[in-house]
Amino acid sequence: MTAPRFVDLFAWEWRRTGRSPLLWSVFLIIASSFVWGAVNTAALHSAQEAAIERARQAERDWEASTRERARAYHAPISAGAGEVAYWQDPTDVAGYSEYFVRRWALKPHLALSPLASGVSDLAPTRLEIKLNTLFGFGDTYDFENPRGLALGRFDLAFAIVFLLPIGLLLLFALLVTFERDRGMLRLVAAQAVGPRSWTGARVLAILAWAIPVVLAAMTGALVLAGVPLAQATAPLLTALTATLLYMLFWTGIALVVLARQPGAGAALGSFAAIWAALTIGLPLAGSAVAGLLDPAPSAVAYVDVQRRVSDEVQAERDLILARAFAARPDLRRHSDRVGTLDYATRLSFLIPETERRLTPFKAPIEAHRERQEEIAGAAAYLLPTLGLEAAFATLAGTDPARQRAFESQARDFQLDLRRRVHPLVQREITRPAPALPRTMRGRLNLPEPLTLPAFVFQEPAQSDRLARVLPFAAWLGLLAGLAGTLGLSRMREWRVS
Amino acid sequence: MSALRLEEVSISFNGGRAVDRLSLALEPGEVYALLGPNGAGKTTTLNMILGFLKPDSGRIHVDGIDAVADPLAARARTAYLPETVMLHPALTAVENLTYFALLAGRRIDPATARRLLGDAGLQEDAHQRRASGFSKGMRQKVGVAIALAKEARLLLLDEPTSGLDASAANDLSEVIRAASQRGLAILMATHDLFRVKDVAHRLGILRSGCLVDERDAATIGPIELEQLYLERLAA
Repeated sequence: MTAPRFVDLFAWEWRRTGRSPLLWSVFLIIASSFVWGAVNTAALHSAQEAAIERARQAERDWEASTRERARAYHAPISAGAGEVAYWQDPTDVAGYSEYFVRRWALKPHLALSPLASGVSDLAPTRLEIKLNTLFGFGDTYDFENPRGLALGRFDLAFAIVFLLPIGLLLLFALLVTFERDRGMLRLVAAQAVGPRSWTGARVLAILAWAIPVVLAAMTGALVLAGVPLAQATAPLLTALTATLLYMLFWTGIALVVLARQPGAGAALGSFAAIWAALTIGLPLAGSAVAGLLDPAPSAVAYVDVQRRVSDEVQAERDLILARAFAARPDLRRHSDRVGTLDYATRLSFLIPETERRLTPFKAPIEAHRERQEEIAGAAAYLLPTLGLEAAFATLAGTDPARQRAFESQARDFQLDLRRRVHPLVQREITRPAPALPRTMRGRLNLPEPLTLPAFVFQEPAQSDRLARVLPFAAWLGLLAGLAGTLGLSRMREWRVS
Repeated sequence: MSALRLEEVSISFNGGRAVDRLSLALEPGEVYALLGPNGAGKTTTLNMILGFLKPDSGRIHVDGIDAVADPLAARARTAYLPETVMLHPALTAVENLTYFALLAGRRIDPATARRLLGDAGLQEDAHQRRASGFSKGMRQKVGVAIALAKEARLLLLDEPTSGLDASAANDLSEVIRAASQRGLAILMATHDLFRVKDVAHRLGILRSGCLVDERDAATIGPIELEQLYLERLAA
């Protein structure tokens, strides 16, 4: 007489487990949560895409209206009409620079965006770019329910990272411990099977049902959320692989607990404690420790500094302009004009100076944010729950790195616009257009509005996103293997005496 | 070769000896009843034979296999019937038997399963019923079928008649006798003095882990057995 073949045990367990109402109830809940999460995020992103489209249209409309208005300012003026303020005149290059140059920096969503909301409910997908906004753009937020923001959005990533382990652990706790709680384990143990083969076959049978169902549910949820699979094949396959490894990771954890051959109550208690520690306790503790060791610079203090610096710059306005003129050979001879410059022209000097003065105060905020991102990157390897969330956000294109790239490109875009427009504004100091007889409505030192480029987000290559996720996926696989090996190695003997 | 041989087996829990230098041997076809009150060490002895507990000292061989060194191989040659047989409630009697036979390394077809259940005394109309509605006696019969399906060399019975009505207990005695005639060595731990007298060939009285007396069952009557049992426990 020999021990049973593992494949026979597995086949039996697979058939029997497949008849469990508990199994299918858990699958139904998981699949429903996946669909809800994906559709929920897709709705948010759809609204944002609509807002992006509205912004594109608004930009086109503004451009057309500026051109139409400029044409109107070429018209002869009627007798006795008052003087037109320069800020109303798109043919006045100074007025045009400050009041008519408006562009939108837009960050469209990727095809797989319903996978994870990431930072998309907090960070803006569209930024209005004006020449003289400090550091590129002002803080822009869509109106969101603050309670919803505090709780976090229920997205597919949340369902996978937080709810899927609950479902899996529930199945393991109730289906693998059934014999002990029914008082059958002694009879099982008295046969010719060891605990490793028996538990392994049961766990593998649960997984053999769970893996295809979960991956199919995930894919189905994304399809229902409108993801075009053909356009998202590589990131989707990566996300499915990461989900599979995540399931194996929790299976490894489960095997470590089940190696003690506990009853359902003890198993559930242990699983709940581990789940709570990995998903809530340790991230909160880590965040608290990181906050203590490296506190964030005060945003309120920065606002205060910003106001103080703006006031200083205004107070020193003429001195700053005089220095700027003295520093430039082309302007040096026109220092007498410092006091007569209009507001928009002054800004072309004062805004860069304000930014220069604010940089030492803004830099620590940026540096802190970068450090926090580095810590988050390291924490992803310590806490797979955080890591998988981050990986999903990366694959979905809702990650902080993509947002930072977007904001950085928006700032570069503003600087490019300044390089194109400010020289024209400042040329009026050295080579002012001749004053026209007061027969025309506009100043006409910029007869046609400039043809300025539109912002085009330079999307990081898809391979970069995948490359950022793959090391974590490999790490997850390693953790799963280690935990599983540890669990199985501890299942040497039955604990039924 | 003995079906079971225990040599000077001892085990302690929390400083107290649960089994103390226990030695006994069972030949094929022999039925040995290990008598004793609760806490005498009967179930502990069965646990050691099954490899669930490791003895502090001594040796245990099942069909020539060292049960301490290779408990899995020893269990493959040992059938076991617990005091209360619990089954998968959602499975039928045939499915339960098929499952436990599989765990024992045997693949049996439904016809064989029905024959074994019949041999164990389970009524035919219960074969395809779910075990959730089975009485203790019916579950015990499925347990017997599980033991028989294993085709082991040694059968361990832990209080097999406990909680059974007279008819079910009598059926079980018949099964034990039949198994013995087929050459199965049977060690039963019990305190049912009168029932064992009918089926056992030898009787051992265990007190505080020590085998204090051993008799040939044929040489002692039921009254004498009770008297001897009480004397040995009182000593």
